[in-house]
Amino acid sequence: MAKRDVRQGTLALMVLKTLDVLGPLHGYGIARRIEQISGDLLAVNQGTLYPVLLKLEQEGAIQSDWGTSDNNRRARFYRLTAAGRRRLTAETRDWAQTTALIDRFIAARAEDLS
Amino acid sequence: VKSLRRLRSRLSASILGRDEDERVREELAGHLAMLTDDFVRSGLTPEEARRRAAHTLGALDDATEAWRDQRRVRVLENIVVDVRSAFRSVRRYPLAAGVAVLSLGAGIGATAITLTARDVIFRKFPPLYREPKQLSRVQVDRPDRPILREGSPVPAGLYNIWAGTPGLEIAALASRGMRDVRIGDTTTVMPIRAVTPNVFDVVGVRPARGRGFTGSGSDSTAILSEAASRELFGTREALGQLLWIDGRSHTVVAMMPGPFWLSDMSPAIWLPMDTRTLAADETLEVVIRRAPRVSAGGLGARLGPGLADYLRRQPGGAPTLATRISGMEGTPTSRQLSIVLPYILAAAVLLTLLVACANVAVLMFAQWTARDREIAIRASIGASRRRIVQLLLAESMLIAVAGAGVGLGAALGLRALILRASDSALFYDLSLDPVIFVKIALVTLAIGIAAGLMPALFETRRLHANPLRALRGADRTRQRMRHGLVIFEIAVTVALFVVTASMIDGYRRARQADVGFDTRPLLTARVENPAGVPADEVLRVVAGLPGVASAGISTAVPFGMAGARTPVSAVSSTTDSVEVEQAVVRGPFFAALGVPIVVGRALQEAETDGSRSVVLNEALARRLFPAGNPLGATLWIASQPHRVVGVAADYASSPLRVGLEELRVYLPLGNQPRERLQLIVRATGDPAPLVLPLRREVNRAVAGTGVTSAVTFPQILRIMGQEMLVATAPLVPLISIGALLSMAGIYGVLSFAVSRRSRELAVRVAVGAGPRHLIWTVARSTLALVAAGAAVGIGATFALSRLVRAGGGAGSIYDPAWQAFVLPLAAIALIGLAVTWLPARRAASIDPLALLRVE
Repeated sequence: MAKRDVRQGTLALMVLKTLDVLGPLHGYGIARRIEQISGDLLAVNQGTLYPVLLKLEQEGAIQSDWGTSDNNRRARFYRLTAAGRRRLTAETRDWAQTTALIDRFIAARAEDLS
Repeated sequence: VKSLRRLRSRLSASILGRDEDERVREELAGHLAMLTDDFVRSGLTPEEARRRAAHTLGALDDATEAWRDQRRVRVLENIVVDVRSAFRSVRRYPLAAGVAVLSLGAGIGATAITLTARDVIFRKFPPLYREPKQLSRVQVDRPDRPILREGSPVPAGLYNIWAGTPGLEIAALASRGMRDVRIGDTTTVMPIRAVTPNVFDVVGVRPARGRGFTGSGSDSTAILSEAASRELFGTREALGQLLWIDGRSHTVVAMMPGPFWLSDMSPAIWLPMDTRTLAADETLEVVIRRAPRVSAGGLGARLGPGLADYLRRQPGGAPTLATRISGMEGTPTSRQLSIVLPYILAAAVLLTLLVACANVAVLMFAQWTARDREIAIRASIGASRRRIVQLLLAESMLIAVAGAGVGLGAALGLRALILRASDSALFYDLSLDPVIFVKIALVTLAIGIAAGLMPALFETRRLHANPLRALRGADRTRQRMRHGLVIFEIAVTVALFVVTASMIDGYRRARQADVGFDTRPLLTARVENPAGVPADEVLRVVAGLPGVASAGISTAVPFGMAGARTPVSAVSSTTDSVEVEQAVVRGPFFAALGVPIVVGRALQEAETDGSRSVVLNEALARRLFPAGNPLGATLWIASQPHRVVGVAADYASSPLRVGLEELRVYLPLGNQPRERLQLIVRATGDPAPLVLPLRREVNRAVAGTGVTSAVTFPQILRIMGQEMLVATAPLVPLISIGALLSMAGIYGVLSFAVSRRSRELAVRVAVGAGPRHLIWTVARSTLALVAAGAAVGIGATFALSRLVRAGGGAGSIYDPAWQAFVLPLAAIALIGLAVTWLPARRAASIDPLALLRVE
């Protein structure tokens, strides 16, 4: 099956969750983890990823600093801020509500509505 | 908050520039390297791994670009690029750009100067006053009389009640009087002002030297302004000096600082007064310092009970009084000048700016038309219309900003010059108001957009369809637009010319008008006595003065005092009445004024109001008795029958009202006492030397009666003329600038037209047209432009003058005479000829061979 691009608007949530679970990580690492967790169904394009990281940083949800990766490469490491953690909680709740809602619509049958 | 934070971060990234690009490049390179590492670990050769990684990630530049878009504000980056490119473009047409910058500089400079002048005259507070916004002037008057900025002073009786109100910081000034001031053995006449001792504390200005007034006043002290000190003692310092005012000695106990003025700017001597010793109906100028957070309305409420108390104490149903509370802003001049003047100025400034704007638009049109190929190419390689318009706007904006710089520089230079050259400049607060800078900035912005937008939209309107085809066929429309703009400029210039010419003509008329009597030997004086002016006694004293030919007394004197209005009817006591001015006269009033009696006789010396005689003026006789002789007829004045004994010739009550119909009746003065009468004195020669002896003799010889003002008619005319000149003066620079701008506009259009049409002209020469024909071809278009512009300008002002006339302003300075229309026409025709000359000569010197060979 061909890899799919990440759905619009969901990448930010994935990035926040990844940083929350795994702690500070560089851009490449974030992309890898998201692809892994999706079971390699998703492809994270760097042209999409870095603007999202920048946007989150501009909004104050994450911060970044230069550091050294496991195999000694210079890389920028992103970590979650307190504001980012609050945002993750709020967005997770929103997402759960949205999916629950959509699930109910999809599961609905004619007799349920009569 | 989230989006705000993002915007801030983006803006700073846009402005702070490109270091961050390095960061993303490095980060992306790191990303690529790590992916390559992973591929190597999975068993690929380094070479192969690099290729795969590069393939997987795609072009690095695309990612960088996406990142950059996220990082910055696109618009801002474009602006930076546009401004740079505008600089480059403007450098390619330095002459036209220079003309445009100077045009705008002139317009914006004129705006800055006029706005500052308006603020200085009408809006700023006198210098040195402490917290001047907390100060209020209070005026009172009967409710049926509008309270103007000048006049309507407060009676001393009322002031004393207010002064007794606890916690009210209130001070008063008596009206200014001219008195004899003696130092040693030289006597001069100087303006003197009696003030309550606390007045300097209330306005919050400490003396520069000395102690100020103490106690309740009426002691023998005086405070001097620096100007008065220089005039009297020849030095700035008069502290401790002695001077005699009307024979009483006063010691100078304080000197006020140089720029200080109070109520008027003349060299001032202030004497302390005790308002409790004044007659109750003596009138005062009142200043109050409001407590913090008390508004003008709140002050009115605090003054209310005192006013009610005062009215209750008045005998026999005195009319109620209205109060007016206003600020201390403005100069004495502003209180006398017409209220419409600031608006006329503002309108003139706005028009001048519009002309400057039109000029820039004309230039932009010409430049951009010449660059249509470049614009088309930009469009073909993908620039959107918005981008191109933005680019062109940046150019006009650049010119506007440079123009603003030039204009403000000129305004600042002029200010420095005034400060250096003028003595009285120190009385004015000439500091520059930041609000004016903000206004100028907004105006500049508006001009940049207004001047650039129309041409830019026009030049780009069809680019999206087929850029290269749009090149053709737009010339005619462009020409029409340029012509429209120039016609507008000429119209505005002509209109400004007409207004100025009309005001100058009004001034000329005021100086030379035949008001119906000879003003040269006349002087008028106000005599006052709270117990009633003994008219006969005053007349006897005045007539006995050497140099007096004759003297009369009246309640209404032209140029001086307007009479009461009263209804008059020739039919009955109640019907068909007209409102006329009523003059109650005594003595040889008509002879003194020099107004002939055309029919019948004048009022006789012994006649009183018991005789029920009346004299009309010609205008009223014509109105009431169009057919017959009014002599002996009955006239109902305020419902009382009177017999007409004579008709006096018409005269104007003011130089500005010459030619207007003024209806008037003259009644003999009765026995009813009058506090205030106006003397009219005819001198045998120059009336000026009579002023002092008249004042002195009346004050001395008639007990309780004083002359409160005495002035010759030539003086009045001079002052009126000066006031009108002051009012006209700011228009003159505006108009010169307008005319210059129009010249530049016509020239720009013509020379562009000649260069655009040079091929056509060359062909004409080739087929045998002579230079005269060529010059005519070019001059014809000027003629058409000037004619159209002048027609619009004259038409607009003429329509306006008809409106003024319909509103009852016929004959006033706002109703221009025909000269005011003809002179501007001549001026604009001359301007047109002058600017046609150069382009026409260029057209005449076209060499068809040279030109057509190039083509």
